[in-house]
Amino acid sequence: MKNSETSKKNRFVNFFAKIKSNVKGYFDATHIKFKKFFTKENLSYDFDKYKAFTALQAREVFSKESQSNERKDKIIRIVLMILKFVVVVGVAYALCFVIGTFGVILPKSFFSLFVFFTTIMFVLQLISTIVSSTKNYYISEDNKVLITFPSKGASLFLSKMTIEYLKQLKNTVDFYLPVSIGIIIYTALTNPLSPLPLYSVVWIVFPVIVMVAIIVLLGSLISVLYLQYLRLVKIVPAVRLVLVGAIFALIIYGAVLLIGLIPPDLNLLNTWNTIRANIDSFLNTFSNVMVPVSWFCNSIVGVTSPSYKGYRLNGACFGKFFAVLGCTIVLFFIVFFVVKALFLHMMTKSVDYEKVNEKAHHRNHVHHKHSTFAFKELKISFRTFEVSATYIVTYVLIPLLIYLICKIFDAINTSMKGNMLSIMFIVLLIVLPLLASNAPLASAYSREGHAGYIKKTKPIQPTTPMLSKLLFNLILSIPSIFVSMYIVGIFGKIDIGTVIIVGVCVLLLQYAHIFYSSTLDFVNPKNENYQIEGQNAKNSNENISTVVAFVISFLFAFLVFFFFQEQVLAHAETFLPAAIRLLIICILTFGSCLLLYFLKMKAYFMEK
Amino acid sequence: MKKPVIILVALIYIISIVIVGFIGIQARVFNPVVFVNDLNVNFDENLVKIDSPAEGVDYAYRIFANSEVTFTVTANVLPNDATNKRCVFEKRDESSSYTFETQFNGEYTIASFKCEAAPADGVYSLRMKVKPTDGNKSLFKVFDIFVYNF
Repeated sequence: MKNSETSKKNRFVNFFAKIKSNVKGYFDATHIKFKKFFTKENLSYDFDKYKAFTALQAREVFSKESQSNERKDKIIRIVLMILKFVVVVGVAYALCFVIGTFGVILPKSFFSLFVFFTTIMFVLQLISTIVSSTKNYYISEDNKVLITFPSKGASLFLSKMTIEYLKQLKNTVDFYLPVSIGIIIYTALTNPLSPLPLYSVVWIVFPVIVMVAIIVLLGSLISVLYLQYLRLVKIVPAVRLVLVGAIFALIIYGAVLLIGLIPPDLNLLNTWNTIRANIDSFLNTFSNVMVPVSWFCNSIVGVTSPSYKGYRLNGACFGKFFAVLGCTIVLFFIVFFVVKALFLHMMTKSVDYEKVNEKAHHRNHVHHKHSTFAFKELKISFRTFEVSATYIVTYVLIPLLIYLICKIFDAINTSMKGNMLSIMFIVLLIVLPLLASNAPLASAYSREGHAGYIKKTKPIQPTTPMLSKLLFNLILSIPSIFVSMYIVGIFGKIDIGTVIIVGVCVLLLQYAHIFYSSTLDFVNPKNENYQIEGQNAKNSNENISTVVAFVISFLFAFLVFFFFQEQVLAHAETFLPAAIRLLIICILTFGSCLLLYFLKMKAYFMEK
Repeated sequence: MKKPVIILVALIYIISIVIVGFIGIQARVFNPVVFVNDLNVNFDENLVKIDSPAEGVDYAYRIFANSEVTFTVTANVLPNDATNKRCVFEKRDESSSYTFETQFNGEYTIASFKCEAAPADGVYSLRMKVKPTDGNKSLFKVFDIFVYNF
């Protein structure tokens, strides 16, 4: 009995001794690794290879289409970049001017507005960094090539992180930096009560460099979790459906809540002081709650004090800046040690987590040649989550947003001019997102890469496979437009006949833009870019498609306003004549785009 | 859709609400001015009405005063929701035998008169003009009060 008790005690002691030794061993090993990492040899490892890796990837990521190295072209590119930057600064300044002139917020709240804008941009950029860095680190096609180079994993990982940093820095310089400079210039020049210092326009560069580093480091850290999520949805696709469904349900719930909040008689003019006070209070509360972002903004524009007017940089601001910088350095080491290990693991097995589909033995049905292509493209579109989710969300959100805005306009006691304005904006808000969502079609054929050229070898007219690619959008936009116009009809600002004709006009415009975007793609193909750079390659056709979407939408909305206003001034009882004129214009637009599509297709794909 | 497109669509959404909310609303007078269309003058119950006032005089009253007397005359405007409800009492005679002061309680303008005693077997009169303060020059009321001691 006593012996058994002693052996039990010994086993217990041995168990803890073993744990103790394991923990000590782990710490010793980590300590040795840590010490070894900081040795001269390790730190001076192939720095040249790191540079080579970075240059290699940067060339692929930042190489512009048809980029010429001639001096003249370089100068034009630089001038265009500066011009773009100045335009964004100007637009931001103009927006601040409108906000300040109409007294949307109090002059002293511009700092809070800056904090709010910075937070929104931080969150949006963090989300895009998580997605982008997951693709860049673990799933990128070039991993298979890069892993074969004789170098240490750390240099490769650092080069990947550098590329991610440069990508995000470019995005920040494109939007956040010029908008922030616009806000600072406006408040410095025109806000006598609490001006932000003008020298922040130069100083902002340093905090922004640190901010982008934080975003990239946090994104890299969270990418580990995102990768696990991607692996999970590969194995259990239902998880993604449930998550998307839940988010969608939340959005609809939020919209319903918002609709419920709309008062029956909304009078912006009468309640403007209350609204302004609420906006001001919200911004100030937000700024007080978001302490880290406020700190960051303080390190850009300084702090305010009762002893002087406005904001100034002082020792405390620099202290905050260096505190943020210190956190960034700590974060860098955490990311380096945590993410690098997973990165190297995934590099060697970049395809091992992909789902292995068991071969299902289906009976081979022979379909008609046209329906074969149509079903194939529809299946691909539905199965490609990024494609189906984007379009479905857009097509469902448009009627929801239209319902919300119709409710708001209905609550406002509008004059006849107000009615015309509200019809114009409703039409604009249906057409604009609808057409802007067609931008990916301007790269639909190019995304096939070299496989796209197989079209020419298929024993069928190219019309069938090419039209099949557009089928998903052509079909799904019909219910979206139908429901949106039905909602417009319910609110009764225009008669039902006019609603139907305007709905047909919107559908024709949508089809016209779909065909126009597709024509852009095969007239100026980018198959090579997608073949080399993968699905994230840049495509100027998408940008052209988006710009055209904006132009068409504004033009159509203006025509709606103009024609309907004419009917009102002529004291006409119905808007039908105006709607018929719009219909003629839309038929002509659609007809010309369709004709262009087939003529170009004939020229590019049909052999004589 | 790209981020800038989403931001632009959201901006247009907000701008459309603001434009329709400010430019497109039904014209409505928010603080309408209701003008006075009549005056109502009430006299103290100690005053006795004289049935036939002089020409150009709306009301005539008398009061016996062998010593100092006080009385009030109250004026209010019609309609009841008139913007300016205050009235003005103007002295229209040369007599120095009486004094008065006015008070306005939001609805009524009350004039409190203090009259000296009338001379023995004699009489003096006071003539007042009551008018609204909304600038209507054609609307006024004139009243006489005779103070007697016989």
